[in-house]
Amino acid sequence: MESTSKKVTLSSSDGRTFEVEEAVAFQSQTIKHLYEAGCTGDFIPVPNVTGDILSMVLRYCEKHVDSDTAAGKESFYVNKLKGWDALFVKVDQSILFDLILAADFLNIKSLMDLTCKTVASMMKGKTTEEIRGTFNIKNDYTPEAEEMVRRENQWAFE
Amino acid sequence: MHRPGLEFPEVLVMEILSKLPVRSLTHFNCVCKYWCSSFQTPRLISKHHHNNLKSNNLNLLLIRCDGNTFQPYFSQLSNQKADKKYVVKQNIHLPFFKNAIPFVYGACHGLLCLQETSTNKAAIWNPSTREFKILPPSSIQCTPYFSSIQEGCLTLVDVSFIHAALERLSSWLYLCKYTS
Repeated sequence: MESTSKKVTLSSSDGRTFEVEEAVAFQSQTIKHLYEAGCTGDFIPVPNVTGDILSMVLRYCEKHVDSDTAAGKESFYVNKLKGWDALFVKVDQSILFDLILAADFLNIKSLMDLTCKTVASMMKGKTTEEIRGTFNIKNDYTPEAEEMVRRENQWAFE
Repeated sequence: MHRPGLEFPEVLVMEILSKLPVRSLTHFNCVCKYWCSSFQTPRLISKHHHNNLKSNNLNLLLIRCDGNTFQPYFSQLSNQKADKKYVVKQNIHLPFFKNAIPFVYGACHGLLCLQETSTNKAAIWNPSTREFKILPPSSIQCTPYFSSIQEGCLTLVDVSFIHAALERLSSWLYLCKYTS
């Protein structure tokens, strides 16, 4: 079982290093590809992600390391993991957005899905104005044009 | 909600939006012109469709008729939260077919082809977005024996016409599989 205990070291944007098992780190397709491409020096740099966020991401990867195995697919473990995920994303929204950026850069699909779904469910029921505030969007409709779009889509406002 | 940094990439915003139900997306058409036009792009539409297929919710449409006014309407039934029990999520009235119950001739990628036999009006309807495209009357004359759309089945000409119409409408084709 030598292969499972092999470790890699990752270095965050603020210079913190994390030593994790290969199987944990390789849930990130980006890291896996870097490693396979020969980036096997002292550590693999993760320049876009801070240490705080990277440690969260790695905690997620550690938890999900068995999710593709037969045992991990049993409903008991699936439900347990879902519960863990729900707690994992109970964080400040700025952290959620950072996690999305990290999941995108590191190419971890399940984390991307989880974090995007969480933000999406927070958006449900918000007003247009609140959404503009959240995403820093400038309203480029004239009041008349906005009213027209609103009328065309009236059922979604009821 | 907390605002993400200005540099939050548009592609990731769209990734988030693709997880929203159609009702929310329709609501957010009002946010800005870019969002409104993005919701029509094949990229977002197919992503949204794919996400919905994964969520595995079963939604049914039931055609009904109001006992007092005799107005036809559809009820959307969903088992999303109530396990095996179906609940009526919403009732959808059809502006195009006001006085007679339309027949559902077929479904394709969540679109329904509806036809009202008494007036011979036909439309393609997307129950998720509530969008209607009224089909122009067929320019092809069929022999009386075969022009059997009134008789309850489509002629080959009509079928291929509908497929051609669907292809032209592909930009709004896939925002379909009924969502909450």
